[in-house]
Amino acid sequence: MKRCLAFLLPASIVLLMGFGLAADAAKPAPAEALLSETSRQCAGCHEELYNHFVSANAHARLKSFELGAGPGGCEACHGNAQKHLDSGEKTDIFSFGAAEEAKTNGMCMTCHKTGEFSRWAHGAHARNGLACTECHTIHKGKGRTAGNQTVLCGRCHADIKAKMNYPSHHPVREGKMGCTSCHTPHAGTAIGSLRTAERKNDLCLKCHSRYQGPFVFEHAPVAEDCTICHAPHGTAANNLLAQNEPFLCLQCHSAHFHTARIGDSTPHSGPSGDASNRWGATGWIRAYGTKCTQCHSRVHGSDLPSQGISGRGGNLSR
Amino acid sequence: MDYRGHDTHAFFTANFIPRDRLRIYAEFAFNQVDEGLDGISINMAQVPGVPPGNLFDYHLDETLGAYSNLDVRHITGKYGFSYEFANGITLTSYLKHDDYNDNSPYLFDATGTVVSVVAGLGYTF
Amino acid sequence: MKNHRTFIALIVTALAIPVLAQGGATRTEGKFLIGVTGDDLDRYIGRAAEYEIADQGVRPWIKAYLELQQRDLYLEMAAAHSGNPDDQFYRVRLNAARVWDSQFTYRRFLHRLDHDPLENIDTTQVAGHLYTYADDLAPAHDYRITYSEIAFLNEFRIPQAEWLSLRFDYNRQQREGAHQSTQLNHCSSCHVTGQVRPVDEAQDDFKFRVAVDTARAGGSYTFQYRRFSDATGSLPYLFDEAVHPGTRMDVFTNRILYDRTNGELPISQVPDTNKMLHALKAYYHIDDRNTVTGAFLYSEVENETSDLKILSRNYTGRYTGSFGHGITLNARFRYSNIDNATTYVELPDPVANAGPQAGRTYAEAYPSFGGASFTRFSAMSREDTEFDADLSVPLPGRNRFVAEYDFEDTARDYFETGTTREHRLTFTFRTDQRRELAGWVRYQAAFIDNPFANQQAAVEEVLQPFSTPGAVPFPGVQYFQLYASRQATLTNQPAMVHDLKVSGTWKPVQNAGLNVAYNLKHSTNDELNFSDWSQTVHAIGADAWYTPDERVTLNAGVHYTDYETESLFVQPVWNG
Repeated sequence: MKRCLAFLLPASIVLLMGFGLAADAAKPAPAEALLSETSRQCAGCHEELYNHFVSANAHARLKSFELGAGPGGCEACHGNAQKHLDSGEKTDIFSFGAAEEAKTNGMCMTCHKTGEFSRWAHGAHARNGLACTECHTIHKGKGRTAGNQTVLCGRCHADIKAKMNYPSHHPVREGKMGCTSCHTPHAGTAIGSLRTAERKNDLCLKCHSRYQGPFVFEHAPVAEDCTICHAPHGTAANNLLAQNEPFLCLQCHSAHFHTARIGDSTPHSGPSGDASNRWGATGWIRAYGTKCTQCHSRVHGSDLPSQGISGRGGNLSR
Repeated sequence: MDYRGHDTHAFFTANFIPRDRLRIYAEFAFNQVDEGLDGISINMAQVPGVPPGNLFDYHLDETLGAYSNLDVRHITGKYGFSYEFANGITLTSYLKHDDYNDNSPYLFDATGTVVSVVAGLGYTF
Repeated sequence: MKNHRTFIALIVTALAIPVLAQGGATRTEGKFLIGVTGDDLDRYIGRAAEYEIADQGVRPWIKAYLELQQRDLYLEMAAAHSGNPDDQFYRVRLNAARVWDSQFTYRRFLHRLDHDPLENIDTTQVAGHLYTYADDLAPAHDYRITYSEIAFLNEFRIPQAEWLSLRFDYNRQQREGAHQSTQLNHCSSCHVTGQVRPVDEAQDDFKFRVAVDTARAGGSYTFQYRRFSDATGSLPYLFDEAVHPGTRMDVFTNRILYDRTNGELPISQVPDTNKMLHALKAYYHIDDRNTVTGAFLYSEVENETSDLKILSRNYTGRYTGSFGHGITLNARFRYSNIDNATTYVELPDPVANAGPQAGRTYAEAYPSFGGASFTRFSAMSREDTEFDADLSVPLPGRNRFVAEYDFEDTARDYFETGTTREHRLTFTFRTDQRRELAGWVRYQAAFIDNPFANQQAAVEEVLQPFSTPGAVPFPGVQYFQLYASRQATLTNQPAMVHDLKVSGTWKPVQNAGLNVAYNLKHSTNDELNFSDWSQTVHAIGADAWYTPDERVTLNAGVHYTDYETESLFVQPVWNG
């Protein structure tokens, strides 16, 4: 796999470069070729914006079949510019900065109305009156988001951004995944803005398939909802556990009956030779009251029966 | 029983462009999490009995939280600059540190530090 | 050596990019960076660098970015290699004439995992035979997983049929490395071992979608197939021999399903699974202000190791309407049915080899037990019915009020909790005073009838007076009797939630601002039969930013969370 990538990737890059370079350079810039004469006149006053737009913006690359009957270039979003060109008045053209968010969004959704955008109105962002331009810059950059995703989302969701710094967290802070790996900011989905049309668990199982099951011996809260035990944005306890063991488990289960046993205070060797009964009287409570999953290690479910017959193999230890 | 948590996150970022071709920046984050189980109080009057043979002491349960409490101080920082010393050619460098202090080890002591120094040369075209 | 080849190939390619780009391309821009990283490590770095490369010493790194536009071809490439093969990223995006939009991504990163020395498990009460102890069989092993992902996304559009789009996506995720697997042994003593469990997982996802979009209506059909497999499968393991901890006799062989005498058995098994999903979605814009959408999903999930299967269907319908003056109404209905197959679990009923129960199975010794085998009904099987609606109304002076209502009825086919019903009300008021003063207040109340819980969590009654009557062997209360006697319900799920959030942003000047946010969430469950559960969270945060001029940007913030959960602690008084 690594060997393939080592050569496939650079080879692809070089081939693609060659493909690009073989084209005729004398033609006008493809972006500008799409712009109407009216739009070209915008450059007279808005040179910097115009240059950004034609050089680096995906909208400037749209083809006529994507635009339908409407104009391309500046007028695709700002409407007919003739009156503004004549008067120079800001009020004579559609201005995103001055418009209400509903009108701003309406303009974007003239084109962005399919796929997940068809459910935009059902999302939390829409019903709370957010404008597309709160997150997207259209003229500058690549027409995508206005900056790093974690920073951008963190502007409003600062509490979540703080959680990403907890000792246990998904690798968002490290840049290995982003907020949109799990959330879709554009659509209202079945569960909030999670990127799944199925159950919440199905989102987690996209990456954590080893817990997919279905298992012969199941742990009911795992089948119910991953967030009964896990807090996905960040936690103090390892493995994104909402609270540390054993408290997490003790909310639904009684403690092990051995927990209150009194340990022998005499040091001596254990069965494997190196056990030394090191904890004295508190040995049992340390063994049974520290981490339940040291013994119940298949807490997400298993197809193999545990040893004890009394629990009919269901103690999730194998 | 109760489980209490006190978690603090503080950060500071600064970007400074003293000259057209020079950018200096600093990012610092401080995180302190302190969580744990407490509040177990055994009233032996409510305990129906104790197995015979001096094998059990239910008051021991009152210390249950001591073995799973968490107290972590995690400090991270990144301080660097980039300097375009010729057209399109940039020198970039930063120092990054990640200091994890496990003040109440759970299972094992996870205290550790990573300090990285990064330097590079960039060409923009 | 192989890794060095990758690195060198990348350097050569990246160096070639600007040279090649001097040719006839209409527009190229890019960046190429090369450098070195020096790391200094102290003590345990599994948390300080949980997801990052941190190698003592110096290593090279490289990053490159290229954007090229040539007639109808748009190409974007990004590459990053940290000098360690476990940390790489590549992306190539190609758009050809707006007909074929393709993105290939490869990423690879490290995840360091904990190594539990199991030192807390080391005790005895009756020295010589009653132990709880542990052995870390790989004390020096450095547990880690390398995660890699290939994503190849393709969308095709046809200029002559602009209403049609086709999509084909392929995604492969791999996890390689090892995690620590712990295994419990009974019955001579409680003995836990920790061993290396190699991980070699791969998941392939194929997705095909065809979509039709017109000005008024549209729809799509998606087919997705996922296969997950773990090449390691399981670990072979030789369990301890189940003997009486004192007498060392085989008196416990009818209390356990297997032991050393069964030879090596698999543990830590991860089953291969597959999933097939069909999704049909449609929308219809009734007019400029009213839209309805609908979706039907059918999926099958199969555990290939156990042959168990989950079938699920779900139906969703939505309506969104705009009534002028910025007033919007949304409503959604969803019904889903999940059927996780019921299965008969056949388990052995071994006989005791020695002692007074010799020759008898556990069921024969304790007839009320009835035998080990049982029919497994899944807690997952259920019918879910959901309905929610929200009304968003703009108020004078750039203010907005949003009211939401959510209802969910979860009827579990077999699980003891049965049916859970939740009603949730949310009210939000937002204000935006020309961006100088903006803020919102949100209050949410949830009322949950019969939330998910463990209804057989704890024993309240006295099952057997002290001291244990009768003679040996083992005449007292048995585990299965204790389990069956549990009648106290415990949970960490609330029956009522009050959640208040307030956020305010003040921008007295254009280049400075302050945001302050506060959240109070109080969850309670006082419907449990023997106890109450509650949780209170206070979270407060402040963020400030200041940009005195274009050359200086300052941002600082602090967030503090204080929370407390109260739950019943239950300690069975029992000698096992």
